[in-house]
Amino acid sequence: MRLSEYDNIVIAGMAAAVPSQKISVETYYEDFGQDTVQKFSEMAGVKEVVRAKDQQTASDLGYEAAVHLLETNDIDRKDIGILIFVSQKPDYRSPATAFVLQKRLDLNAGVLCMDINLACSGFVYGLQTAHALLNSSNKKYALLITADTSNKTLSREDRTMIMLFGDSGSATLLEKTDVQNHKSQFGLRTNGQKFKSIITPAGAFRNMHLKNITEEWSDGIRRSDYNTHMKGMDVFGFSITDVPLLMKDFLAHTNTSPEDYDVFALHQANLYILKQLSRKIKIPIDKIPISIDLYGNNSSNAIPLLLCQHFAGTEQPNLRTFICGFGAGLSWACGAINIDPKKILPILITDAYYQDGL
Amino acid sequence: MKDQFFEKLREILEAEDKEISLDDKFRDYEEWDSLANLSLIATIDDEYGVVIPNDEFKKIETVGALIQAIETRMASL
Repeated sequence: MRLSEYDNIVIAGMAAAVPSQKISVETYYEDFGQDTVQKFSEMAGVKEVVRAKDQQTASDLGYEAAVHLLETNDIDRKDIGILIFVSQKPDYRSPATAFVLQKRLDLNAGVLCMDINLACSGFVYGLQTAHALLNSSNKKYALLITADTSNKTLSREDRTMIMLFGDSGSATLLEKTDVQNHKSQFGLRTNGQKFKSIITPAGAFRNMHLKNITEEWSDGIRRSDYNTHMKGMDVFGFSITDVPLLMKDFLAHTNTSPEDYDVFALHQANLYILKQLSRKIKIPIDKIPISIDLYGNNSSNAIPLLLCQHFAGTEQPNLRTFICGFGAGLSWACGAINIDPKKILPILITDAYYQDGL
Repeated sequence: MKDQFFEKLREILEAEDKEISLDDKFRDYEEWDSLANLSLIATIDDEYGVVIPNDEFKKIETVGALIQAIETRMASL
């Protein structure tokens, strides 16, 4: 398998931001029926999700997390050489949102800025990319911002998705060190054959002729081509076959076993899938923290949000952490990183948005 | 395996006394919905240790054909 390793980069800080609006699954009793909602909630493990207001974009949430992180740690912004924004909900079709964030964060011209369009695998891919770019640069810090407002393209009638997804942002600061004992490892996979498994067909440049009309699709759910559509069975099958296979391969290639990790910070796709991964990889369930119950599936932010929820302010020593994200692409990725709970901030709640954002 | 599978199917459909036969087209059951579909894939994985890819699963119409597909996959493990 393709494996990347680094030994001189440490996670110097992590923060996450969520909007204040919480939507309970019970909200949907009337629309979808109490029985259907309760069955969904039991299987997916979702009790409520966080949802951004109309004006608040993904970058607003990522920005707030980043400011929270940089100010708390008193980071000199001149030392940041890389800014990566991972999202499927950019501010504009162009330019990349990383430029908007560079302006708002007041980073200097020497910073490499770019967006990565990824969803649930995005944190691991972004982390690997940030490691690679920082490793080959003369700068001290890389700032990885992941943020998504998945709800903005969901049909309100799509019971398979609307009760599941949350909106949030995160910021992770990577620091290059002289001490070479911070082993980070990443293994990534992709299956573009399945690019239609999770797709928003219109809104970019392939299907510009499509009208924004809501109608019933073959699965009986009303949505438009501007809504995100997930082939649930495709993605579910992928999650309980390809994902555990990668996890096993990663453990084999890194010559590690579940006992070597303190925490398995796994993408919060669905509680059932987390239980399956626990069973298949033989991970004790108490090593798999859960955030899907209170926040839903938060795309690329699921892993940092989970870490902030469970480890901020704790006195635990350094945690050897197994991370795994999987989703749209199809794209899936594992990593082994060190997390110092003292560097993790509590979740910030914010409804702030960019007044000058046009 | 047949009787055990019928029992699992009844649990998924939440219909404990339901008459089930090998020729039934399971998607025509009145209790069938997307959650039942998900539960069925999950139950097959739990009970028999195999996952039928969705492209293949979509072509399977009857309970008997589904059992056959599970057995074929189990034999190739």
